[in-house]
Amino acid sequence: MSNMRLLLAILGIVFVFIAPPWLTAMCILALSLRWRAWEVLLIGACADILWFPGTFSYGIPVVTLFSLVVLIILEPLRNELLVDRRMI
Amino acid sequence: MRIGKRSSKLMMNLYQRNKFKIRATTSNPRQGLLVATFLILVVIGADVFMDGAIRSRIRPMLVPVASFGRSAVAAVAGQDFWSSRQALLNENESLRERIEKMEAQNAGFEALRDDYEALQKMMAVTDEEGEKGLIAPIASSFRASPYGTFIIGAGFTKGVREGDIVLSEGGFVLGAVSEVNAKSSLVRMVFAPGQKTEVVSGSTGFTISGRGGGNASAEVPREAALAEGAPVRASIYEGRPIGIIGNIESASSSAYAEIHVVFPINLNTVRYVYIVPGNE
Repeated sequence: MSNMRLLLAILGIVFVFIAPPWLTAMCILALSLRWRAWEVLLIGACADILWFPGTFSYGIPVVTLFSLVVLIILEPLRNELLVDRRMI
Repeated sequence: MRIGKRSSKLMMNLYQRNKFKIRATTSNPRQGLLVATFLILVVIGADVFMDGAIRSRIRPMLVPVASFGRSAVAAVAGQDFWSSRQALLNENESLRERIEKMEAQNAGFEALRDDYEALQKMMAVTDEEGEKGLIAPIASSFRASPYGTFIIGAGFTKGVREGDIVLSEGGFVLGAVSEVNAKSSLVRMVFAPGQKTEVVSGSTGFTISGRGGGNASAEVPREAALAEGAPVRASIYEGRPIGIIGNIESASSSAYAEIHVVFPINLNTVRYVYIVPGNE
């Protein structure tokens, strides 16, 4: 795991606790753009465990789903444009 | 012969690199991602199935971290950490040391005074509400949640129940308790994004839609008798005020006016809340 990836993952987790949600979302996006980063799911799940209110009658766990979707939809972009395959 | 050897070495190198590439790109990372996705889906699915039981077990472990984060941010923000560096460099060294010592002492007093003042403000709410509720500290950031929720440092061991109403100083409703653990509770704010609440201001009733950060908006007929600064009350919270009308925007071409309802207190300054039993 590269230093940048580790840094972004740690920042993402810290932002879940103290920063506005858009900063967490930026970390999720940055990680998903560059790497096939399973830790994005951890960040999403962490946000939902901490902040999602009550039962699921309130809605859906948006952050986990967002991280999952971003991770999936950015796969072709990662493959074709951004990622040096040896570094995935 | 030499050329043949060289080219076969080259081929071997290429082959080895490709072999590595295939292994690196296809098997391990994808497997890891698949396992992580599967795990997350299983956890979320189980949580749905068990009505949030997994979250309510894990959340208490995360509350101290959230509480620490809030204190750390408040401490950094209160230390003029981001002020002009040049101004700090110009200070005399010995004076600075002395000031720092005095500031450390002063910070202790200030913290105590702030606590005292915050509690005194809450006591005013307590007097209004009678003896039926309890005071609890805020244990998390107000702005970190994408769902308009925050955590308070009191749970069912202190008698907090789901549906209890959470008031700030001045008696304004901040939200309602949506999940209770032993020593902490999750509160959903009235102005949580997308949350709709039936309210009344003066003699006009309308529905506000939360936008997060202590703001909400609503559309009312242009003729409605509403005034900026007027309190807005919600019957679901037993007629208590939930905010004030911030501004009213109306275009002459439209039959409706858009009003903005705001929470009158800066959320970052709220440190204690008062919890009263709700209807549920």
